[in-house]
Amino acid sequence: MNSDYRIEEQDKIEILEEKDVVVCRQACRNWAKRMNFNLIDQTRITTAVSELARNIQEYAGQGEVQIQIVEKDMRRGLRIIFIDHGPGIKNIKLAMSEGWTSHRGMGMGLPGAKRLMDEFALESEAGKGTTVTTCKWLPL
Amino acid sequence: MNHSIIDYKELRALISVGTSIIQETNLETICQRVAEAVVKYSKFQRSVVSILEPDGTLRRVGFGGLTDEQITKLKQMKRSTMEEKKNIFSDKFRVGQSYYIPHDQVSLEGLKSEKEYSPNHEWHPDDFLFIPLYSIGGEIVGMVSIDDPVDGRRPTEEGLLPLEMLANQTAASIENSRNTKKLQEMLVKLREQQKVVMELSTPVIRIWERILVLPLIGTVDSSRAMQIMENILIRISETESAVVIIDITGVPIIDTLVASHLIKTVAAVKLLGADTIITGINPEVAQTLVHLGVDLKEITTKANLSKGIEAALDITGLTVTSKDS
Amino acid sequence: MPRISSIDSRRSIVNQKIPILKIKDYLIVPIQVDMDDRLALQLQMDILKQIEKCNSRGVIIDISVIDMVDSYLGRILGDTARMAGLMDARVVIAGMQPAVAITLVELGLGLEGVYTALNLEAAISLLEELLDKDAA
Ligand SMILES: Nc1ncnc2c1ncn2[C@@H]1O[C@H](COP(=O)(O)OP(=O)(O)OP(=O)(O)O)[C@@H](O)[C@H]1O
Ligand SMILES: [Mg+2]
Repeated sequence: MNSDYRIEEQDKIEILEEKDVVVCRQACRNWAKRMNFNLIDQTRITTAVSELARNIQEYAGQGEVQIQIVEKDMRRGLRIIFIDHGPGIKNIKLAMSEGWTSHRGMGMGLPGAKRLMDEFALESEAGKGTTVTTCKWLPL
Repeated sequence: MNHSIIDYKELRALISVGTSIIQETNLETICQRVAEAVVKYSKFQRSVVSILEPDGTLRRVGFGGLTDEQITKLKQMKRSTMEEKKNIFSDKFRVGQSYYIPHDQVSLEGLKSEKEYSPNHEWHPDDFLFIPLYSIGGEIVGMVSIDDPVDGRRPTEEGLLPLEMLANQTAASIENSRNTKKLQEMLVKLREQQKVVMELSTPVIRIWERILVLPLIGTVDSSRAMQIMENILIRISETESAVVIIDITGVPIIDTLVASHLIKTVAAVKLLGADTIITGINPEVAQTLVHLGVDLKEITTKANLSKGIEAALDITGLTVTSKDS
Repeated sequence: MPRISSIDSRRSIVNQKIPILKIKDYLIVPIQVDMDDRLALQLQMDILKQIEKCNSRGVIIDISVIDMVDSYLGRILGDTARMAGLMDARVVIAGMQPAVAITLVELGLGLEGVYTALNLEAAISLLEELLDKDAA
């Protein structure tokens, strides 16, 4: 699955506490800016990152966010992967549905982030952890 | 043995034909001129130029030294395919860049090869002679078949050279003509795209202080709808406008996706602190919106642009009064 | 050296308190930092307390320099407006950037029922209008 993406550059940010969510989304905006994403796409990326990094912090306590500049089929994109070894998600379909929350959230984070990014893949196993892989492509 | 040294007059004439066809863009004309030139300037009295079509068949296009009746008959004959001709392209038959197949090595079932080839023999009416047309990339784009030499002798390598040079120029011309056609098709597509881009840049017009109008015309697809939404929001923010009127009189139909962009636009405009008025909704669009379950309470609509403008003026605290009242 | 800067930026994010200005009968809250969740929640509480203390009838939250509103901040803003409403005060969100508005809508958040204005002046005249209507 990784093989068709060529990684040009990468970095990672650890999510250990609440402030790291802010650090992480700001870092991602800077990457997006550097790649010349337009202002609206920068904002979409930053917002999606905020949602997914918060989920790590909120549900798994801690985890890691990998940021990559990738190339695939002649397109450049910003790929951001959210990894945690927390409780995992039992029912992915339910978690992805609009408005469903196990806590007192709005159930907006996962479906919203999916809409804001071009690619979105959620893998999770109860008891093992969760990985959300997202990507936004620069327009051709 | 050395009865056919290169004939320079022939060579020059053939080269000049080759140079003249390179600018020609019509495939038919190219092939016809080449077929005629072969008959006119070489010792062969008949020729057929065929083009390899994308489906693998050879289409006979140019004819030299044949009667109209023969041409009609040839055109009606089933086209041969490159696949069928495969056996011909064997080194055994090669003479220079061409292939010469003596009649006694050909049968209906295919090709036999009992007798040795010798250039000293006489040409037999049933002998075959082909010059493949190679593109610059080395692929076959067609072939010239020639027949009936005046001197009644079999071809030699040097004797075929002038014709082979013409064949190479023919191949280049065919390729050129095809590329030109492709280029033209691309240009047409590009123009269409430019038209779309023009539509994309649909201007958001500031008709009054704090009032913007966006007259939408033509088909709106999802990506254009997205662009429009971004434009509207940026313009509102730049001009600090209070109202934007989206007039969709010029939009015949909208699909689900576009309708949902429209709804999103209204919501985003609201977030900025401005209002949207949609005018000119036709029956089809109205049906679409209702079937989509769009909550029309959320959207201010007016029958036409002037009613919309009145409402906008009202929102911004201005009113229209006639001069004499 | 470079390591310290990232820690510094964390401090600057978190240890700021958002000022709440009182102008006439209104409270004006210019948010000028990227708030983490705790700070956002803290701000909500501060605004409500300030409404009570100053007997304010209107609050303007100026987010014109905010470059991102996610579901959490969106909810805080919406909740604050509704809570203030229960205390008989009106909240206007002013100056949302176009990119933020588009993203919020795509995220699925419309901030229904929350008053919005293009800028501070527009927010003040909206508040005046709303309060006039309330008085009538
Ligand atoms: N990393 C994760 N680990 C475990 N469970 C998760 C994780 N991310 C999401 N979930 C589960 O999926 C549900 C939906 O997540 P989502 O982000 O869509 O909504 P929310 O976090 O509940 O609310 P909101 O994000 O709108 O504040 C969560 O309530 C939680 O149960
Ligand atoms: Mg969440």
